[in-house]
Amino acid sequence: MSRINLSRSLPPLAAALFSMTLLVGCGWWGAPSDSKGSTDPMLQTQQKQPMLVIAEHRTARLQALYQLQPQLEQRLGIRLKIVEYPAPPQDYFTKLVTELRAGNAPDVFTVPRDLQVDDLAAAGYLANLTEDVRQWPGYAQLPELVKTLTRASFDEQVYVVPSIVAVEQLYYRHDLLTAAGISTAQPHSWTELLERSREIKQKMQQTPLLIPAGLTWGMGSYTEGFRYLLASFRQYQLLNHQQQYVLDDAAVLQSFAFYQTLVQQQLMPIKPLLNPEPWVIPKYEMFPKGQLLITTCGSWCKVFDWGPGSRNPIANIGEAVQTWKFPSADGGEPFALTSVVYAWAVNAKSRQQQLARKLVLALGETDVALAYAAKLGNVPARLDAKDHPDFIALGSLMQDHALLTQSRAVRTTVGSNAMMAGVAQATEALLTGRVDAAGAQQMLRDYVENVLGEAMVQPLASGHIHQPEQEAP
Amino acid sequence: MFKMTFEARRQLGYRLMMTPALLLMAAFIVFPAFYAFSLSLTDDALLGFAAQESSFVGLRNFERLFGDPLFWNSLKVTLIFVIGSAVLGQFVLGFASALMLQRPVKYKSIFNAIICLPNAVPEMVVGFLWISMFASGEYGTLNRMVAWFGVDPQQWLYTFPLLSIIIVNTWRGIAFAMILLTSGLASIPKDIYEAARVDGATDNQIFWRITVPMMMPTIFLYMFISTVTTFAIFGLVYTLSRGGPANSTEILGIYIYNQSFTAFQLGYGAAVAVVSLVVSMVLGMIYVKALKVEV
Repeated sequence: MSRINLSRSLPPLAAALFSMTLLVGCGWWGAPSDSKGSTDPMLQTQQKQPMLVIAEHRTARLQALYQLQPQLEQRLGIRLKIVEYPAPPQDYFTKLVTELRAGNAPDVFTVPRDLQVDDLAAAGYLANLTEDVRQWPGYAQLPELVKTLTRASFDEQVYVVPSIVAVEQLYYRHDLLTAAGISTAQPHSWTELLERSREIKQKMQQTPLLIPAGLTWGMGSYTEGFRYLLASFRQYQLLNHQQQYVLDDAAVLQSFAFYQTLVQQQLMPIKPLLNPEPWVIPKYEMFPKGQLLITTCGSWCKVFDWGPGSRNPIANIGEAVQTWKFPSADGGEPFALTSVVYAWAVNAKSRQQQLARKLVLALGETDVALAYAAKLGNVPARLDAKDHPDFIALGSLMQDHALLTQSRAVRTTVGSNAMMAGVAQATEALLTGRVDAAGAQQMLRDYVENVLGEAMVQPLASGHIHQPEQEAP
Repeated sequence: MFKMTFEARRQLGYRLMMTPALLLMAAFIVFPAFYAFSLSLTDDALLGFAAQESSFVGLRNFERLFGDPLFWNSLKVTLIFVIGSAVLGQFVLGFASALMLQRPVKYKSIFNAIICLPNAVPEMVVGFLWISMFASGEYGTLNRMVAWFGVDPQQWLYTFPLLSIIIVNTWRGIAFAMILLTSGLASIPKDIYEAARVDGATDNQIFWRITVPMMMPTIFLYMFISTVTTFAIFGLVYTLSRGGPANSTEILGIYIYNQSFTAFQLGYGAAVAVVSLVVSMVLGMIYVKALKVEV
């Protein structure tokens, strides 16, 4: 039997491996044929163009970007490498933030919600775009509210270029309420909304209203729920002049009391909100089936959640589902809420700063915004979008675009993530009946103070949280 | 000239052979543990001003941690999960399988394969597989099965959240318990059993007075490994429930992840991780002490 002599055969083997590594490393062996100096002049030109890495996620957004890629590359003379990120917003944001911290994030990416701009900018992850947008004609076309939401609250510098915005309201089943003989008139106050909800429960034996809450809904408990309630107080500002969170205000307590009423009177789907994916049952099952009649949502809902292409389409959705503005809590006019969603940002550590800045401005143009808006069910951020020939393709979203100049927003500052996590915890405690409204307010205050430090929360004027004289709704 | 004795050369050889493993342990276990401890004394975060410049906060994170009811809840859930799935579920069923397969059974290899299969499936895949089993509504696999007996569709992960994840982890871990305990059973000399039978011992007496005492070192070794690994589980529970509903399945791994990568508070997350490490080490030391059991 022959034996292999290791001491003799190892050196030649190692030498061969080393040579192969060198050959592969130098590109002499195994490299694709097109990289060996192509004679195609077009390919050569393309290869000389600088490449920018751009992060994108979710099928609809990716489709829009792939569709726009050739024209963006041609317009800017660049190559775009699109990196697909996880679809769920929280997973996307976590991956993005960890990469930004590690210093290996893409050149250009989106910030899912305007209230995350402060935290990202304060961490030093975002390039300051103030000078760039000043020279950009598109900036003058943004509504003032949207402009405010592109700036960080701590230095008033612009860090993102908005492309699309979400216009959020209450969506209700017009067809079913009409059939049940329940008024579909716009409710003007919280009390009116609660009375309407009680009537729905009594006459239809169904769950009337969904306002997202709880831990598993994550940041949505704030952005798609609690924020609407806070915005309905015209006099209330979440931040004081020192950029501290104002959490001992009666507006905060009354907002929690509204949840408490919904929970105690079982006007809200409580059990589904405690599920791992709490939006699935109420939004995708109960609302289409008519087991839930009113829900908070944005313009995207008519496209994604219940539109003809969704998994649970509602027949004749244009007629069946209609909107109410959010009722006011203090006698003011009902209002729609605007959020800047998926605004474009430049990585502060990008090696191609100038090109990346050009790219985000190009992504803020109307044609790009319209391509995204049509696919996502959002509306373009720019007011001049209505003059674009493709604007008509938005259909019913055109009405939402018209609300841009009249809508409200709630501005946050650094630490919004703690604020959102605090709201998720406090509303979860309300859902499970562990605390009442005052307890939830205390919980939120304690959490935000614990995480951000005492300096970020407005000190209590009287040493204890403000108790309103009037009863909760 | 310095000349090493044979024994010294042998000892040096052993140490050299252990060096790569020790270096890897130092790089991937010891250093991260010390780094986590240093992080736990700061307000480091992935977002906000603290991400640029964190500051030393002393034991503030630990102070907050011990006053946080969600941490205590998480610790309680973790202990129930470990006892339910590793100590009771996997051990009892694994031991029963090992004993059963000691006897002459027809199609033994098929039974072996069936029991071992779940261990071959990656953690996340197991999670998704059981999500489909536990899915609410009439199309969930388990709901279809209970429908044969006239039971209405259930929301399993909502109604029995902790029990559900205990069942899944038990299902996954039986194979490991069975393999380890089978090797323990094989190491018991056969002549002891024969002598006991000659003396008229019943099956029950043989099991409690010979098998169990002789198996004690293996049982404790299994308990040690499974407790520590179950303590560190993350992916399976994260996929199934993300710690909900209402924190009822928020084991320490999920709690650490949520604090570090959902709330982005690295300092606080590291403090929880340090406490978790201490708890694991204490449990480990108890087992190591118990492993010196005499038979």
